[in-house]
Amino acid sequence: MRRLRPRLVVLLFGFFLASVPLFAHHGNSAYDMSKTTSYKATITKFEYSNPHTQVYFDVTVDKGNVEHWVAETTNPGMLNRVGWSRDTLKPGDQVTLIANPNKVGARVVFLEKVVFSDGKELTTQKAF
Amino acid sequence: MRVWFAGSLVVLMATFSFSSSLLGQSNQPSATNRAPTSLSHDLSGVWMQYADGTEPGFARMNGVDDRVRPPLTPWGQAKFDAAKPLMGPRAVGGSEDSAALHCEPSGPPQLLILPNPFEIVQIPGRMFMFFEELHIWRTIWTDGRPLPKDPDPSWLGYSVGRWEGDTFVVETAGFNDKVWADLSGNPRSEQMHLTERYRRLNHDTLEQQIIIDDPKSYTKTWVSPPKLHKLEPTWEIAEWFCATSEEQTYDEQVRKPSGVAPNK
Repeated sequence: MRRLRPRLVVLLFGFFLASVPLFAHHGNSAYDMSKTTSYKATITKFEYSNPHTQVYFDVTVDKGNVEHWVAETTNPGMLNRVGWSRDTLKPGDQVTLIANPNKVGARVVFLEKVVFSDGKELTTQKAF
Repeated sequence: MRVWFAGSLVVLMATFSFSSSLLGQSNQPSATNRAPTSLSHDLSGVWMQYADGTEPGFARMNGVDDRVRPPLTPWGQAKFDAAKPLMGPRAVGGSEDSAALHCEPSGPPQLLILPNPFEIVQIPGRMFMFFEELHIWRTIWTDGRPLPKDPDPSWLGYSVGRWEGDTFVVETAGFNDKVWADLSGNPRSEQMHLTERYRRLNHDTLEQQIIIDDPKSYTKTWVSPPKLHKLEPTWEIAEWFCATSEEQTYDEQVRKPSGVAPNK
Protein backbone atom coordinates (compact mmCIF):
# COMPACT_ATOMS: atom_id res chain seq x y z
CA MET A 1 0.00 0.00 0.00
CA ARG A 2 2.89 2.34 0.83
CA ARG A 3 4.46 1.66 -2.59
CA LEU A 4 1.30 2.63 -4.42
CA ARG A 5 1.22 6.20 -3.20
CA PRO A 6 4.35 7.50 -5.00
CA ARG A 7 3.14 5.80 -8.19
CA LEU A 8 -0.21 7.48 -7.80
CA VAL A 9 1.56 10.84 -7.52
CA VAL A 10 3.53 10.16 -10.70
CA LEU A 11 0.35 9.11 -12.45
CA LEU A 12 -1.63 12.14 -11.38
CA PHE A 13 1.28 14.41 -12.33
CA GLY A 14 1.50 12.77 -15.74
CA PHE A 15 -2.20 13.23 -16.36
CA PHE A 16 -2.04 16.85 -15.23
CA LEU A 17 0.77 17.59 -17.66
CA ALA A 18 -1.11 15.91 -20.48
CA SER A 19 -4.17 18.05 -19.91
CA VAL A 20 -2.25 21.34 -19.89
CA PRO A 21 -2.12 22.87 -23.37
CA LEU A 22 1.62 22.69 -23.97
CA PHE A 23 3.38 23.03 -27.29
CA ALA A 24 2.23 19.65 -28.52
CA HIS A 25 4.37 19.89 -31.61
CA HIS A 26 6.72 17.48 -33.30
CA GLY A 27 8.27 20.74 -34.32
CA ASN A 28 11.10 21.55 -36.64
CA SER A 29 14.30 23.51 -36.28
CA ALA A 30 13.41 25.78 -39.26
CA TYR A 31 10.49 27.49 -37.55
CA ASP A 32 9.92 29.95 -34.73
CA MET A 33 7.53 27.91 -32.63
CA SER A 34 6.79 30.83 -30.30
CA LYS A 35 4.99 32.84 -33.01
CA THR A 36 2.12 32.37 -35.42
CA THR A 37 1.27 34.15 -38.65
CA SER A 38 -2.01 34.16 -40.51
CA TYR A 39 -2.22 33.69 -44.31
CA LYS A 40 -5.16 34.29 -46.66
CA ALA A 41 -4.45 31.29 -48.81
CA THR A 42 -5.62 29.70 -52.03
CA ILE A 43 -4.71 26.03 -51.95
CA THR A 44 -2.77 24.86 -55.00
CA LYS A 45 -1.89 21.34 -53.90
CA PHE A 46 -2.54 19.09 -50.89
CA GLU A 47 0.08 16.37 -50.55
CA TYR A 48 -1.34 14.06 -47.87
CA SER A 49 1.63 11.74 -47.42
CA ASN A 50 4.61 10.65 -45.33
CA PRO A 51 6.89 11.81 -43.92
CA HIS A 52 5.15 15.19 -43.49
CA THR A 53 1.95 16.35 -45.14
CA GLN A 54 2.44 19.42 -47.36
CA VAL A 55 -0.07 22.19 -48.06
CA TYR A 56 0.97 24.24 -51.08
CA PHE A 57 -0.75 27.62 -51.32
CA ASP A 58 -0.71 30.98 -53.03
CA VAL A 59 -0.90 34.33 -51.31
CA THR A 60 -1.80 37.46 -53.22
CA VAL A 61 0.29 40.41 -52.08
CA ASP A 62 0.37 44.05 -53.07
CA LYS A 63 -0.33 44.97 -56.69
CA GLY A 64 -1.79 41.54 -57.37
CA ASN A 65 1.51 39.68 -57.18
CA VAL A 66 1.14 36.04 -56.23
CA GLU A 67 3.60 34.32 -53.94
CA HIS A 68 3.98 30.56 -53.74
CA TRP A 69 4.22 29.06 -50.28
CA VAL A 70 4.18 25.67 -48.60
CA ALA A 71 3.07 24.75 -45.09
CA GLU A 72 4.08 21.42 -43.63
CA THR A 73 2.56 19.38 -40.83
CA THR A 74 2.76 15.82 -39.57
CA ASN A 75 2.06 12.44 -41.18
CA PRO A 76 -1.39 11.18 -42.28
CA GLY A 77 -1.39 8.45 -39.63
CA MET A 78 -1.53 11.03 -36.87
CA LEU A 79 -3.64 13.61 -38.76
CA ASN A 80 -6.37 11.04 -39.44
CA ARG A 81 -6.75 10.65 -35.70
CA VAL A 82 -7.59 14.32 -35.22
CA GLY A 83 -10.17 14.70 -37.97
CA TRP A 84 -8.08 15.21 -41.11
CA SER A 85 -8.38 13.21 -44.32
CA ARG A 86 -6.99 13.30 -47.83
CA ASP A 87 -10.06 15.35 -48.78
CA THR A 88 -9.60 18.04 -46.14
CA LEU A 89 -8.14 20.49 -48.65
CA LYS A 90 -8.44 20.72 -52.43
CA PRO A 91 -6.84 22.95 -55.05
CA GLY A 92 -8.85 26.16 -55.28
CA ASP A 93 -10.00 26.17 -51.64
CA GLN A 94 -9.79 29.60 -50.06
CA VAL A 95 -8.86 29.31 -46.41
CA THR A 96 -6.95 31.05 -43.66
CA LEU A 97 -3.83 29.21 -42.56
CA ILE A 98 -2.32 29.81 -39.14
CA ALA A 99 1.32 28.73 -39.10
CA ASN A 100 4.62 29.11 -37.26
CA PRO A 101 6.87 31.37 -39.35
CA ASN A 102 10.19 30.45 -40.90
CA LYS A 103 13.31 31.57 -39.02
CA VAL A 104 15.17 32.79 -42.12
CA GLY A 105 12.21 34.16 -44.05
CA ALA A 106 11.80 31.26 -46.49
CA ARG A 107 8.25 30.71 -47.77
CA VAL A 108 8.06 27.44 -45.87
CA VAL A 109 6.03 27.44 -42.66
CA PHE A 110 4.72 25.01 -40.06
CA LEU A 111 0.95 24.61 -40.07
CA GLU A 112 -0.99 24.94 -36.81
CA LYS A 113 -4.55 25.41 -37.97
CA VAL A 114 -6.86 25.77 -40.96
CA VAL A 115 -9.84 28.12 -40.80
CA PHE A 116 -12.37 27.38 -43.54
CA SER A 117 -14.56 29.95 -45.27
CA ASP A 118 -17.56 28.79 -43.23
CA GLY A 119 -15.70 29.55 -40.02
CA LYS A 120 -14.96 25.92 -39.12
CA GLU A 121 -11.47 25.23 -37.81
CA LEU A 122 -9.23 22.19 -37.99
CA THR A 123 -6.11 22.08 -35.87
CA THR A 124 -2.98 19.99 -36.30
CA GLN A 125 -1.84 20.50 -32.74
CA LYS A 126 -3.36 17.44 -31.12
CA ALA A 127 -1.67 15.27 -33.75
CA PHE A 128 1.76 15.87 -32.26
CA MET B 1 13.34 -54.52 -8.05
CA ARG B 2 12.66 -52.00 -5.28
CA VAL B 3 15.92 -50.16 -6.01
CA TRP B 4 15.06 -49.94 -9.68
CA PHE B 5 11.59 -48.61 -8.87
CA ALA B 6 12.94 -46.04 -6.41
CA GLY B 7 15.55 -44.95 -8.94
CA SER B 8 12.89 -44.51 -11.63
CA LEU B 9 10.76 -42.51 -9.25
CA VAL B 10 13.67 -40.16 -8.55
CA VAL B 11 14.27 -39.70 -12.28
CA LEU B 12 10.58 -39.11 -12.86
CA MET B 13 10.38 -36.50 -10.09
CA ALA B 14 13.49 -34.78 -11.38
CA THR B 15 12.00 -34.65 -14.86
CA PHE B 16 8.74 -33.13 -13.59
CA SER B 17 10.50 -30.50 -11.51
CA PHE B 18 12.78 -29.63 -14.43
CA SER B 19 9.75 -29.29 -16.76
CA SER B 20 7.87 -27.10 -14.35
CA SER B 21 10.88 -24.82 -13.98
CA LEU B 22 11.02 -24.59 -17.79
CA LEU B 23 7.33 -23.74 -17.85
CA GLY B 24 8.02 -21.17 -15.15
CA GLN B 25 10.44 -19.42 -17.52
CA SER B 26 7.75 -18.94 -20.17
CA ASN B 27 6.11 -15.56 -20.36
CA GLN B 28 2.60 -16.97 -20.20
CA PRO B 29 0.96 -15.35 -17.20
CA SER B 30 -0.19 -18.10 -14.91
CA ALA B 31 -0.78 -18.64 -11.26
CA THR B 32 2.32 -20.83 -10.94
CA ASN B 33 5.00 -18.50 -12.33
CA ARG B 34 3.74 -15.04 -11.42
CA ALA B 35 5.26 -13.46 -8.34
CA PRO B 36 2.75 -11.60 -6.18
CA THR B 37 2.21 -8.34 -8.04
CA SER B 38 -0.30 -5.55 -8.16
CA LEU B 39 0.28 -4.69 -11.85
CA SER B 40 -0.76 -6.53 -14.99
CA HIS B 41 1.65 -8.64 -17.03
CA ASP B 42 -0.39 -7.88 -20.12
CA LEU B 43 1.25 -5.01 -21.98
CA SER B 44 -0.65 -5.52 -25.22
CA GLY B 45 -2.24 -2.60 -27.01
CA VAL B 46 -1.46 0.51 -29.03
CA TRP B 47 0.53 2.98 -26.94
CA MET B 48 1.22 6.68 -27.57
CA GLN B 49 3.70 8.71 -25.55
CA TYR B 50 2.39 11.77 -23.73
CA ALA B 51 3.29 15.24 -25.00
CA ASP B 52 5.05 16.24 -21.78
CA GLY B 53 8.57 16.99 -22.95
CA THR B 54 10.18 20.32 -22.17
CA GLU B 55 11.99 21.20 -25.39
CA PRO B 56 10.10 23.97 -27.21
CA GLY B 57 8.41 22.54 -30.27
CA PHE B 58 9.24 18.92 -29.33
CA ALA B 59 6.84 17.90 -26.64
CA ARG B 60 7.50 14.23 -27.20
CA MET B 61 10.65 12.21 -27.93
CA ASN B 62 12.12 12.75 -24.46
CA GLY B 63 12.18 9.07 -23.45
CA VAL B 64 15.91 9.41 -24.12
CA ASP B 65 16.58 12.61 -22.20
CA ASP B 66 19.73 14.42 -23.27
CA ARG B 67 19.48 16.80 -20.30
CA VAL B 68 20.86 13.94 -18.19
CA ARG B 69 23.29 12.55 -20.73
CA PRO B 70 26.69 11.61 -19.28
CA PRO B 71 29.91 12.99 -20.75
CA LEU B 72 31.02 11.67 -24.12
CA THR B 73 34.18 9.68 -24.73
CA PRO B 74 36.56 11.04 -27.40
CA TRP B 75 35.00 8.62 -29.93
CA GLY B 76 31.52 9.69 -28.86
CA GLN B 77 32.43 13.37 -29.07
CA ALA B 78 33.73 13.00 -32.61
CA LYS B 79 30.49 11.28 -33.67
CA PHE B 80 28.38 13.90 -31.90
CA ASP B 81 30.27 16.79 -33.51
CA ALA B 82 29.87 15.30 -36.99
CA ALA B 83 26.13 14.75 -36.65
CA LYS B 84 23.63 17.27 -38.04
CA PRO B 85 20.71 16.75 -35.68
CA LEU B 86 16.97 17.01 -36.20
CA MET B 87 16.33 18.67 -32.87
CA GLY B 88 18.09 20.46 -30.07
CA PRO B 89 20.20 23.63 -29.99
CA ARG B 90 22.52 22.48 -32.78
CA ALA B 91 19.72 21.76 -35.26
CA VAL B 92 19.68 23.96 -38.36
CA GLY B 93 16.58 23.96 -40.55
CA GLY B 94 17.29 22.52 -43.99
CA SER B 95 20.66 21.06 -42.97
CA GLU B 96 19.58 18.08 -40.91
CA ASP B 97 21.13 14.71 -41.67
CA SER B 98 19.95 11.49 -40.08
CA ALA B 99 19.87 7.89 -41.30
CA ALA B 100 16.08 7.95 -41.55
CA LEU B 101 16.17 10.92 -43.96
CA HIS B 102 17.85 8.54 -46.43
CA CYS B 103 15.24 5.84 -45.84
CA GLU B 104 17.58 3.79 -43.68
CA PRO B 105 16.02 1.98 -40.73
CA SER B 106 15.84 3.27 -37.19
CA GLY B 107 16.56 1.12 -34.15
CA PRO B 108 16.43 1.23 -30.37
CA PRO B 109 16.69 3.45 -28.44
CA GLN B 110 15.88 6.08 -31.10
CA LEU B 111 13.06 3.90 -32.45
CA LEU B 112 11.49 3.81 -28.99
CA ILE B 113 11.04 7.59 -28.82
CA LEU B 114 9.71 8.46 -32.30
CA PRO B 115 6.47 10.49 -32.11
CA ASN B 116 4.10 7.90 -33.56
CA PRO B 117 2.50 5.02 -31.65
CA PHE B 118 3.72 1.46 -31.23
CA GLU B 119 1.69 -1.68 -30.66
CA ILE B 120 2.68 -4.46 -28.28
CA VAL B 121 1.57 -8.01 -29.08
CA GLN B 122 2.41 -10.91 -26.76
CA ILE B 123 2.55 -14.58 -27.74
CA PRO B 124 4.13 -17.51 -25.88
CA GLY B 125 7.88 -17.04 -25.85
CA ARG B 126 7.86 -13.68 -27.61
CA MET B 127 6.76 -10.10 -27.35
CA PHE B 128 6.47 -8.00 -30.51
CA MET B 129 6.61 -4.23 -30.78
CA PHE B 130 5.24 -2.78 -34.01
CA PHE B 131 6.35 0.81 -34.60
CA GLU B 132 4.15 2.92 -36.85
CA GLU B 133 6.96 5.21 -37.94
CA LEU B 134 8.99 3.41 -40.59
CA HIS B 135 6.84 0.26 -40.27
CA ILE B 136 9.35 -1.58 -38.09
CA TRP B 137 8.57 -4.66 -36.02
CA ARG B 138 10.83 -5.87 -33.31
CA THR B 139 11.00 -9.26 -31.54
CA ILE B 140 11.75 -9.57 -27.83
CA TRP B 141 12.40 -13.22 -26.87
CA THR B 142 10.75 -14.14 -23.58
CA ASP B 143 11.46 -17.90 -23.54
CA GLY B 144 14.30 -17.55 -21.09
CA ARG B 145 17.14 -17.57 -23.59
CA PRO B 146 20.15 -15.40 -22.73
CA LEU B 147 21.50 -12.66 -24.95
CA PRO B 148 23.86 -14.10 -27.56
CA LYS B 149 27.53 -13.70 -26.60
CA ASP B 150 28.73 -12.15 -29.85
CA PRO B 151 25.76 -11.08 -31.97
CA ASP B 152 26.20 -9.70 -35.46
CA PRO B 153 25.79 -5.91 -35.53
CA SER B 154 22.32 -4.98 -36.70
CA TRP B 155 19.88 -2.06 -36.88
CA LEU B 156 17.55 -3.41 -34.19
CA GLY B 157 19.89 -5.45 -32.04
CA TYR B 158 18.88 -8.75 -30.42
CA SER B 159 16.41 -8.46 -27.53
CA VAL B 160 15.42 -10.71 -24.66
CA GLY B 161 12.86 -9.90 -21.96
CA ARG B 162 11.83 -11.20 -18.54
CA TRP B 163 9.53 -10.22 -15.70
CA GLU B 164 10.88 -8.95 -12.42
CA GLY B 165 7.74 -8.67 -10.33
CA ASP B 166 5.74 -5.81 -11.84
CA THR B 167 8.41 -4.81 -14.34
CA PHE B 168 9.12 -6.21 -17.78
CA VAL B 169 12.86 -5.84 -18.35
CA VAL B 170 14.23 -5.91 -21.90
CA GLU B 171 17.91 -6.24 -22.68
CA THR B 172 19.32 -5.65 -26.13
CA ALA B 173 22.79 -5.98 -27.61
CA GLY B 174 24.26 -6.40 -31.08
CA PHE B 175 23.73 -2.93 -32.48
CA ASN B 176 25.48 -1.32 -35.44
CA ASP B 177 26.62 2.29 -35.14
CA LYS B 178 24.58 3.62 -38.08
CA VAL B 179 21.72 5.08 -36.03
CA TRP B 180 21.88 7.80 -33.44
CA ALA B 181 20.71 7.04 -29.92
CA ASP B 182 18.19 9.87 -30.24
CA LEU B 183 17.36 12.71 -32.65
CA SER B 184 19.94 15.14 -31.26
CA GLY B 185 22.90 13.31 -32.78
CA ASN B 186 24.05 11.47 -29.64
CA PRO B 187 25.85 8.32 -30.80
CA ARG B 188 25.11 4.61 -30.55
CA SER B 189 28.07 2.28 -30.86
CA GLU B 190 28.35 -1.48 -31.39
CA GLN B 191 29.12 -1.77 -27.69
CA MET B 192 25.77 -0.41 -26.54
CA HIS B 193 23.85 -2.58 -24.10
CA LEU B 194 20.33 -1.24 -23.80
CA THR B 195 17.94 -1.91 -20.93
CA GLU B 196 14.26 -0.98 -21.03
CA ARG B 197 11.91 -1.25 -18.08
CA TYR B 198 8.15 -1.35 -18.64
CA ARG B 199 5.34 -1.26 -16.10
CA ARG B 200 1.64 -1.11 -16.82
CA LEU B 201 0.68 1.31 -14.05
CA ASN B 202 -3.02 0.95 -14.77
CA HIS B 203 -5.20 -0.14 -17.66
CA ASP B 204 -4.49 2.99 -19.73
CA THR B 205 -0.89 3.81 -18.73
CA LEU B 206 2.42 2.22 -19.66
CA GLU B 207 5.61 3.47 -18.09
CA GLN B 208 8.80 3.08 -20.14
CA GLN B 209 12.32 3.71 -18.89
CA ILE B 210 15.39 3.66 -21.15
CA ILE B 211 18.82 2.92 -19.71
CA ILE B 212 21.87 3.13 -21.97
CA ASP B 213 25.21 1.47 -21.28
CA ASP B 214 27.59 2.34 -24.09
CA PRO B 215 31.18 2.61 -22.85
CA LYS B 216 32.48 3.43 -26.33
CA SER B 217 30.24 6.52 -26.49
CA TYR B 218 29.60 7.60 -22.89
CA THR B 219 31.69 7.60 -19.74
CA LYS B 220 28.79 6.44 -17.54
CA THR B 221 25.40 4.77 -17.75
CA TRP B 222 22.74 7.10 -19.18
CA VAL B 223 19.53 6.71 -17.18
CA SER B 224 16.60 8.70 -18.53
CA PRO B 225 13.55 9.43 -16.37
CA PRO B 226 10.54 7.14 -17.01
CA LYS B 227 8.19 8.22 -19.79
CA LEU B 228 4.44 7.61 -19.70
CA HIS B 229 2.46 6.25 -22.64
CA LYS B 230 -1.31 6.29 -23.07
CA LEU B 231 -3.36 3.34 -24.28
CA GLU B 232 -5.24 4.19 -27.49
CA PRO B 233 -7.77 1.38 -27.91
CA THR B 234 -9.34 2.82 -31.07
CA TRP B 235 -6.10 3.41 -32.96
CA GLU B 236 -4.83 1.09 -35.67
CA ILE B 237 -1.17 1.21 -36.56
CA ALA B 238 -1.14 3.05 -39.90
CA GLU B 239 1.11 2.27 -42.81
CA TRP B 240 4.33 4.21 -43.01
CA PHE B 241 7.01 2.95 -45.36
CA CYS B 242 9.94 5.20 -46.09
CA ALA B 243 9.34 5.67 -49.82
CA THR B 244 12.26 7.29 -51.60
CA SER B 245 9.92 9.20 -53.90
CA GLU B 246 8.04 10.71 -50.96
CA GLU B 247 11.23 11.55 -49.08
CA GLN B 248 12.64 13.20 -52.19
CA THR B 249 9.55 15.35 -52.73
CA TYR B 250 9.59 16.44 -49.12
CA ASP B 251 13.35 17.14 -49.23
CA GLU B 252 13.13 19.23 -52.38
CA GLN B 253 9.92 21.08 -51.68
CA VAL B 254 10.10 21.60 -47.93
CA ARG B 255 13.13 20.52 -45.93
CA LYS B 256 15.94 22.10 -47.93
CA PRO B 257 14.10 25.29 -48.91
CA SER B 258 13.08 25.81 -45.27
CA GLY B 259 16.65 26.73 -44.43
CA VAL B 260 17.33 29.07 -47.32
CA ALA B 261 16.67 32.78 -46.94
CA PRO B 262 14.91 34.21 -49.98
CA ASN B 263 16.82 36.49 -52.35
CA LYS B 264 15.98 40.08 -51.49
